[in-house]
Amino acid sequence: MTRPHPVSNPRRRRSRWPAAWTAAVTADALCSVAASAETPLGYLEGFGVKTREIAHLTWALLILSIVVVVITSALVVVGALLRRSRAPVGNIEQEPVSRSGRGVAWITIGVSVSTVALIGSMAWTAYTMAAIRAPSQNPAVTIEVTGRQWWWQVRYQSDDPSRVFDTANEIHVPVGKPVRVRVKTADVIHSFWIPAVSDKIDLIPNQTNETWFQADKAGIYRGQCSEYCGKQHAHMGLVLVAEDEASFKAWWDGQLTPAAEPEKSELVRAEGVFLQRCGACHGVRGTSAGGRFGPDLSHLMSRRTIAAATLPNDTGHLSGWVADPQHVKPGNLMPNLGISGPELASVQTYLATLN
Amino acid sequence: MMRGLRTSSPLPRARAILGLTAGPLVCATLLLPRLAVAQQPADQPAPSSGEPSGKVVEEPTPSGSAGGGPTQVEEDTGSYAGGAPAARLLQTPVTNVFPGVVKRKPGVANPVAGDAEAATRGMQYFNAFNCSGCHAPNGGGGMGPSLSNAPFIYGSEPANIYLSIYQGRPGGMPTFGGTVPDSVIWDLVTYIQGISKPWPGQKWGVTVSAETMKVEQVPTEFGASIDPWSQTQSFSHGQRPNSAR
Amino acid sequence: MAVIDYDRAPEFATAGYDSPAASRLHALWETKPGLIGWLSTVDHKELGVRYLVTAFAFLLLGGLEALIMRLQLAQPNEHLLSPEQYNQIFSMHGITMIFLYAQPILSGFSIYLFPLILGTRDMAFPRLNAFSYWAYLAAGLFMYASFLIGAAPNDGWFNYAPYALKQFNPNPNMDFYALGMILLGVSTTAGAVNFLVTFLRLRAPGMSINRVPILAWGTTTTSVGILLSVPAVSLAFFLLWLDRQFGTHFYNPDGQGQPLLWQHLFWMFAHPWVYIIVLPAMGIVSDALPIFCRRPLVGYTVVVLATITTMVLGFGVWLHHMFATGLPFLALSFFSGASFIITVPSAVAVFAWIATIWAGRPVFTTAFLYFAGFVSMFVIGGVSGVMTAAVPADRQLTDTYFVVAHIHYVLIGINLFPVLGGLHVWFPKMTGRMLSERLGRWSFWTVFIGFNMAFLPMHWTGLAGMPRRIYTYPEGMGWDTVNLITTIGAFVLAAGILIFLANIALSRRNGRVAGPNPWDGPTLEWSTPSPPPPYNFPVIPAVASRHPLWEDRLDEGLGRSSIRRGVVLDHGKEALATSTLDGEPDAILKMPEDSLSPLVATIVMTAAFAGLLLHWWMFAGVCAALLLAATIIWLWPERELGQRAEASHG
Repeated sequence: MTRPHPVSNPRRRRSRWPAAWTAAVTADALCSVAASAETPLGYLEGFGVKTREIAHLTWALLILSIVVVVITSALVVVGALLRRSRAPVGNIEQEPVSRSGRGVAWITIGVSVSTVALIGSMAWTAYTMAAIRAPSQNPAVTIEVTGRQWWWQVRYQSDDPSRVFDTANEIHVPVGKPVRVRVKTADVIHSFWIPAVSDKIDLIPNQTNETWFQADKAGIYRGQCSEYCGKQHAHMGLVLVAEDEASFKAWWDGQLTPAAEPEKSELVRAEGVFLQRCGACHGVRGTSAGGRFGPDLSHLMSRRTIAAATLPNDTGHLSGWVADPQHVKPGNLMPNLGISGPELASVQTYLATLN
Repeated sequence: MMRGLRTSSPLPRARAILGLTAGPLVCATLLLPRLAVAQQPADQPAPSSGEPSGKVVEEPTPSGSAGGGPTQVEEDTGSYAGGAPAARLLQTPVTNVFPGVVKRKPGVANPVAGDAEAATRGMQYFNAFNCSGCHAPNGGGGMGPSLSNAPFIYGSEPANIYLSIYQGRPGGMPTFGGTVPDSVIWDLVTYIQGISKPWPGQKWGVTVSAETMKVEQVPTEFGASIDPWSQTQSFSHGQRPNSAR
Repeated sequence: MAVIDYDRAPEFATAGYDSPAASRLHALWETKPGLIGWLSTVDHKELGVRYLVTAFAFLLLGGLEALIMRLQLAQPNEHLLSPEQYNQIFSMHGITMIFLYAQPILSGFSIYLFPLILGTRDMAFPRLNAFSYWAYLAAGLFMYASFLIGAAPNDGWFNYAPYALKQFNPNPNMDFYALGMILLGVSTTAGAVNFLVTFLRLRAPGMSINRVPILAWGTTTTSVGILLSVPAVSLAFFLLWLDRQFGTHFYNPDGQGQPLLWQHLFWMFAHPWVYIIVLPAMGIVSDALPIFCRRPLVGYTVVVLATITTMVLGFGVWLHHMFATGLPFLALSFFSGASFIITVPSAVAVFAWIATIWAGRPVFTTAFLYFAGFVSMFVIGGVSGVMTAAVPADRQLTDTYFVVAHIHYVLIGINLFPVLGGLHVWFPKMTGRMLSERLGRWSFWTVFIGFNMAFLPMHWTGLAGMPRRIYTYPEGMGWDTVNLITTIGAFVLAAGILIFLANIALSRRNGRVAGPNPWDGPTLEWSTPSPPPPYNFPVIPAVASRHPLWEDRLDEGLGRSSIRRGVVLDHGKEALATSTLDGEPDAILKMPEDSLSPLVATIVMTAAFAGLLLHWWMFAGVCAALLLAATIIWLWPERELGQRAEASHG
């Protein structure tokens, strides 16, 4: 025998619909509160030629999407409420079955409107693809980026071989000039991405991909590897500094300067410790440290971050990193050196001279 | 109406299936921390560390106090040895010949033996520190002796290989101890043991002929592997490699 | 010993569920009791329920993994999980949900419902049906066994080379995945064959191709998709396994292999797969929503055409997962355009459902709430997909949490919501008891609110640049608060699922007893008792429209379906074959008895795969030979198929 099924108060039940939508809207409102906080990796505002076009397209599609969602959800909610049957849930036969009306018009109109919107989106997309395809002038700088687990090896190219140099994890570019980037990888697939000025390009083994970007506003931008590459994919960031032409050239010249020969005895000793403990993996131009396993440390102190934008580059973090890299980035390829306190102090002393 | 209808109750079976599948996951969650940790590079790879040397996370004071005396670096042997006491390392025999019949076992074992990731890291180090420059990729040998199909003249036990790398050897093998951390050397030892294969028929006092060398490794550019002996071709007697296309 | 004459002209009779003919059929079709019966059953209803239960168990496991991940990501720089643990958990979460839950649960519905909605006694290949279930269970256990040694797959469900190769992943993580997927592929392909042949051959007389319920259309379309894509991915995984074991270089860049080849082969399968896991669910809604709107679906024909078009177009868009890999401009343009176009058939379906609501008189059962919510979630998932179809936008959105939001809206919205709603609809049919509407409403709102709280903000997180597949994130990125909200939402969603499970557990014992047709539905399954007897129908019904049980009330056309009078097939285990397009009776089919062969074949096949995993080559060879023997035994012509009419298993 069927149990009498309590029919809940329809008035109370109907009021739950706005509640749910309010909850969803509140979540969205919270988001917009959070949106006013700084988002270094956000790309809804573009600071480069390419990313500005892309941001326009993204906004357009986003607004169109929200409109479509609101309209269709409203259709569902309003339709369900307006056409709601009086039959109780437990006795559905009370509502008679009937086929009435021309429902197919809904489909025709809905699909037509959707198709128009889609074709408009496709057109805007095609326009954007063409606009960002190539720079308006020849690139001023060519940079070769090689991704490694889990840092970025950067080589600045030049027609003059004496001006070619290596650095790591931090890229400087001149504002307002296109920059060509050739990307390769030494191990697995990575992806080069600086959201504010450049879209993503994957780094595929045995393949050199090429892209370009142009920063329009001076500033410091953050990048991130965007293709899962192993344990420390989360901590493979990079820093982009866009500066005016003069500062950029000064930076380049500074990078080419070899490390100064230490004169004071304790600096000589410190350099000795550095060469012995670090030189097998790291290189510093102007010294006999020629290791190529880890990032190039020439002019380390001119960089804003260390460990691929994982830590800020100051004394405390740098010492902590050298003392125990596995604690900061477990699984990364810099092993724990078993370095003692006095050795650490020497290494720190020497690194501090690498401006 | 329904004669003998077997109302199958999925619920007990559901519980059984749930247990079958959730049980392993629960076990694994308990096991996972231990096992996952085992796969990370060893912090202190030395088999036993009596001394408190090693990582120090204190913040050093600025460069002024770095001058602790010119002998500071050289005397600090504890950290170079990675903690294995010097006596133990000295007790590692370098030869298979012993007075009498009592064989001495090496006093030091490879702390990362059996870790597949150690061999992978070892291969990366083998190329990064240019071991392949003298010993050839996969240890085929060249300027330096072959590591893959020849007897180790300074001993083939893990501790022997460790000391060969650490101390260097006469004739051109550089001293890597102190330049690279202990964990790196043990990873290299693991890799080298993986690629080495004893000369067949190797016995003290027995002449070996080339006929016993039936196979050799496929050259490295046709397949890099931490186990190059998994890819072999028939012995080419130094002629053009059979895999060359 | 009388041999059944399969060439006879069948008798016609009028018979109900309490007739002598029904008793005879019951004895013929009943599964043997006890453990052997349980292991050897080929009854599609039994197997369908097993699929549903197992898939739900995997849903819970995958959900557990998700909750652990969300705890790790709730705040920046957390240390709950090490990077390797997180990588294994997020990979297994994806594998579990996409392969071990999403398609099998829809298979469960289809296996249970196909014979009932098509008006026949069982699937075309009942033993193959059992085999596909056992192989699915074996594959799931095989892949989860990797957790026991701490070596679960850790390269994501997409498993990109070269990180998946031996030199970067020397432990057996990827071997579990590669071999497990090949094993699962066997199960999926077997199931697809079964659905396709059942759809084409085993419908009720009069059920022409344009009278078939849309769930059947959805599942059959995806079965064709499976047949075209799953063997290809099994091969791709096999090549990966070869690269890892024997140093071949299909994908290995060290040996002139192509990592991009893996991406192409994988996505050529995986993109059709994502339609495979949603089209049957859309079919569930297309069949069940009209019941609660008290009218047939608006635009049946265009919805069917849209289903087929989606699956076909689904094979032509795989490159949109690879827009950032440096492909030529023309390729990018083509696939971007195709990815936009594939929205159109989905829009057809969405407006068909909206039209059905507007043109009908909806009754607000829990199932209706799920289906109404589903339409909205579908659109959200669809439009975020359109955003990623635009190549320049995709090159900012891809590999961020925006895509994670998109995939969860399409997976949870288009797969889970119809599943939960569908369980409300067909649970009475399967068990004879109604689910509690009160608990159902609680579970719906909790799931709905939790789901949106978790995944709507994820769109924002993605637009703020948070990349995917990271085990932690630094402070100062602006993501902290939103991630906390997402984590809370995930737990609310989990609570909703728990309420749903409680509903099922309680209603099994105390739910209101359901009659044959508690929802007053139109299709054939509602003419059987709840739960249906092993033989489904005492006589094979003949149908005259898409909604046999509503014909009198709709009063359209002259034909009337004949449910209580039809072809009697009680000389043994028999079913009726009909022609493909028009549903005219064609032949009498022999249906097999319960058999242990599928289980034995699965066991030896799994043992062979385990041997391959462990490099026990001789053992694997022996098991392969045993598999051949088991298959031969399975297929051996049975004298029993000429069984006497009075054979019974009392």
